[in-house]
Amino acid sequence: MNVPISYRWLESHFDKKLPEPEEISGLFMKHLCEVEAMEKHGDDTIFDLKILPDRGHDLLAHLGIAREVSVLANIPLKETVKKESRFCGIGSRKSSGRDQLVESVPSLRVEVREQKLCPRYMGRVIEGVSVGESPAWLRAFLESVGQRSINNIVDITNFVMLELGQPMHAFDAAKLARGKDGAFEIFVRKAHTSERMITLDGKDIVLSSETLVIADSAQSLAIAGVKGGRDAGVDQQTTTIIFEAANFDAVNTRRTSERVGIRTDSSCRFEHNISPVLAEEAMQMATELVLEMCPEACVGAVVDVYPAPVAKREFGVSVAELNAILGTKLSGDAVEDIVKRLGFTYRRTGDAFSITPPAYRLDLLIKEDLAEEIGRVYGYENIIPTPISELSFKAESLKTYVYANIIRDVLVAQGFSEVYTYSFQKEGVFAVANPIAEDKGFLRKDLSAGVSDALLLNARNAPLLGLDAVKIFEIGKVFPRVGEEKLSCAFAVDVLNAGKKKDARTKEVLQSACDSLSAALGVSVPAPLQGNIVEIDLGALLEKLLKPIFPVTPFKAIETRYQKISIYPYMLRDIALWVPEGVSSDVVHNMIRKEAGELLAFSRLFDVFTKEFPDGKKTSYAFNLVFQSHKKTLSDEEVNGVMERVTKVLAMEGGWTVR
Amino acid sequence: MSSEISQNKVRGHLHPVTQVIREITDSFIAMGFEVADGSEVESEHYNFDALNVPKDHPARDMQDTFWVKGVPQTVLRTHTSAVQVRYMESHKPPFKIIVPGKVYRYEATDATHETQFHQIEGLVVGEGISLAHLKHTLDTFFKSLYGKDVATRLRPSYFPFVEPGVEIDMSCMKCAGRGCSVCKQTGWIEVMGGGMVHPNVLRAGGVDPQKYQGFAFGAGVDRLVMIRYGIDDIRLLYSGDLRLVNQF
Repeated sequence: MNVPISYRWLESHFDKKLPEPEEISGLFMKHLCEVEAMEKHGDDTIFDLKILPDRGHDLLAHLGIAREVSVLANIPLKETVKKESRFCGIGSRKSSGRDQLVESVPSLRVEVREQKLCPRYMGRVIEGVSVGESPAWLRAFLESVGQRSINNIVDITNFVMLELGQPMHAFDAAKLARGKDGAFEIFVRKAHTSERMITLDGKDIVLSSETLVIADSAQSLAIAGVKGGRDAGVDQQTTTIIFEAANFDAVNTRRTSERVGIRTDSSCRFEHNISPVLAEEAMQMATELVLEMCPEACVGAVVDVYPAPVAKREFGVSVAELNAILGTKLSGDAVEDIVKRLGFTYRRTGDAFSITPPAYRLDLLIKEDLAEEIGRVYGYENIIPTPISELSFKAESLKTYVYANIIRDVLVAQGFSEVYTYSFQKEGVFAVANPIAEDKGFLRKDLSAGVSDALLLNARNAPLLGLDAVKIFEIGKVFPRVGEEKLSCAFAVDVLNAGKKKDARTKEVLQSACDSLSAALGVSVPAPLQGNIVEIDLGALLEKLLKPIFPVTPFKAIETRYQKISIYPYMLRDIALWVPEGVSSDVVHNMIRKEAGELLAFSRLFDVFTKEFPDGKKTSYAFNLVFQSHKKTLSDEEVNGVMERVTKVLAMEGGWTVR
Repeated sequence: MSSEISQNKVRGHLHPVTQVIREITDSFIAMGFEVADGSEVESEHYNFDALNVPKDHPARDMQDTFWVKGVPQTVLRTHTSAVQVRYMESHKPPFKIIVPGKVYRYEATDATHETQFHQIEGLVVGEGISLAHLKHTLDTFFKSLYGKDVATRLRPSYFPFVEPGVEIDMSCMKCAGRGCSVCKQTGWIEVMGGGMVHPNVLRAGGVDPQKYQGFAFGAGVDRLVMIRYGIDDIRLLYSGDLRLVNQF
């Protein structure tokens, strides 16, 4: 998943000056992830980072990226990064959120009915907030990464998410139903069947009983982790809010998001399975920011439903194991240095390390994971390529590979060209459960159907290709019965313009191909009695053959550049002329090509004969000319114009007569 | 009739996908690799479970993978990696294999996306196999195809069946790393994904990860064909159209 990251925002995590954006980008590419774009926005630079799926836990956030910058550029993070306001620059706020707890704030009760889907729910009531415009720094940060500023409260929740990776939500407490004792009540439950909710942006959603919602005693207030509801949204009149910093199950959030058709920055982050630990930090940061903007606000106690706190994970790895995976010769001290930079808790006994990764690094579970951490920070470019020496392995040849290539070469020598057609077809026996289109519901039962379609297609273009017969083949898997898969080979010919000789010529071509295959393989490949397609059960045929030896010369693919196929129709012309005997056809052909220019898509000699004339022997050459443009449909006039020029040039040669 | 206009002697053409697959496969054969293959209709087990892909991973959804009717828990393989565990089950390490083959993805088609395409997979398992061996193997391979000056680069990446996981780039063969339209001015072309075989995958294949390590890599052939020859639409490769094939 991609995330926009602001250079200026990153900078706010450091006392020291950061390397230039270009250098940071280089570090990311080498050691972390792809930088898909880097754009200057005023004095800021925005990186578009493609975060790897296993780092969605911690890197869809500026703090996570700042930690990486700290590791990779070896610059320490600010000591105060988590403790003090670094956003307004002067630290106007005097007391922390905790100090300002006020008893009179109405209490909050949270009941989590689906613990598996919501491992943690933190809520807090804050009274006396004034909703208004956010300070300039906050608006600037949000806008730098493409977020629209809404109001200070909503902006705070978004800021915290973009900073820590923990999505938050704010409810207008006044809009919630209250318990008998006046306390606010929040329920985390599954939606009732056909319960409805109108989202903040006005979409009317019918919820299913699989959807996890945040509700008061009366109705759903939000689709958990995905989208807030309008009925409890914060607006200009709001004075009391409830902050939510919760942890929702990744799979359920993804499924819900798909079901309701809403993907948000929040749902994307929960889908990546974030640590429940983040909620604490988020609640703390959001509270501090509210107090910074609304110093008169009264903060209630945090309600934290977290019945099964995640345990710290510890695993052991030795320097020898790390080196064995990476193929490096890192020393214990070098490993320790990297582990330290990564900020991991560890114990070292000689060359044995016991590592406790930070709570937000859910991706580190086994020694191979740590090898990757060490390897990428150390730099893969520093790994010295080493030949594999001591493998006692003797490769066997594979029939399907060797013989399929022999068959290809035989057929190509016989004038057949290879095609690949689609495995999906309209008709067949073995069906696809989720076809991509109505006419692609089955796996092909044979190659013949696709090959015969290709014959038709190519026959239409035969003049352009200079073919008197379209000859094609395909080798591939077919699926003749449910659950069955076979290797097949089909070759086919369409003899064009042969009139009455067509059947005989077809037979001749296929017979010759079959004879050559029989000779090359040493088994009989019988030619068909009728029709123009031969399909062979290649799997069965290969059974009869011995294990082949490896081909001696490795195959080299052709060096060429593909010329784009024109989408416009082609036009045909012929030209025939007499030249004195001894003038080669190449000379004539080259003159035609030169004069006809780039509109001549294809040309070939199709008739030659020599005749005695009073002034000596003369040869007649006749050429097919095919005209086609890459830019437009050619008109008769245009092609006639070219033909006139060609005729004129040929007629200027002494003794040449265009017929 | 003169021989210069005889049609019978005209040779046919090998499809560019075949040409590139053969060139790559033969290069690895020359390096002592064995060619292996597998079926296109594959069980969910070999395509996903055995490769350490989590049960609830989005790749298994009907929006990403073709499932077949009439055979439970069976897909059209989404990668040639499905052959890894099958091969491990029937062969004892050490071994080096190369696996070319057709794969399928449930995908809306356009100039760069197809529902069917080709991959080549490499797998080496033995005692003491490391990332340094992967780097050497691919470096040797690229040099054998594109000359001594080609460089190989590994970058961090992620695939569930390898750890560490890497993206493998080679320096652009068109501009020798200076930057051009083929490499989008980066000097590098992303050619493969790879890494060290995840111990869970070795275990699934009955290979003891305490004793053996392995590396694997996989490349999308169609993309390589398109870059190499300047083909601008992947669908042309499966159109059966000789206006394409006969250029090769």
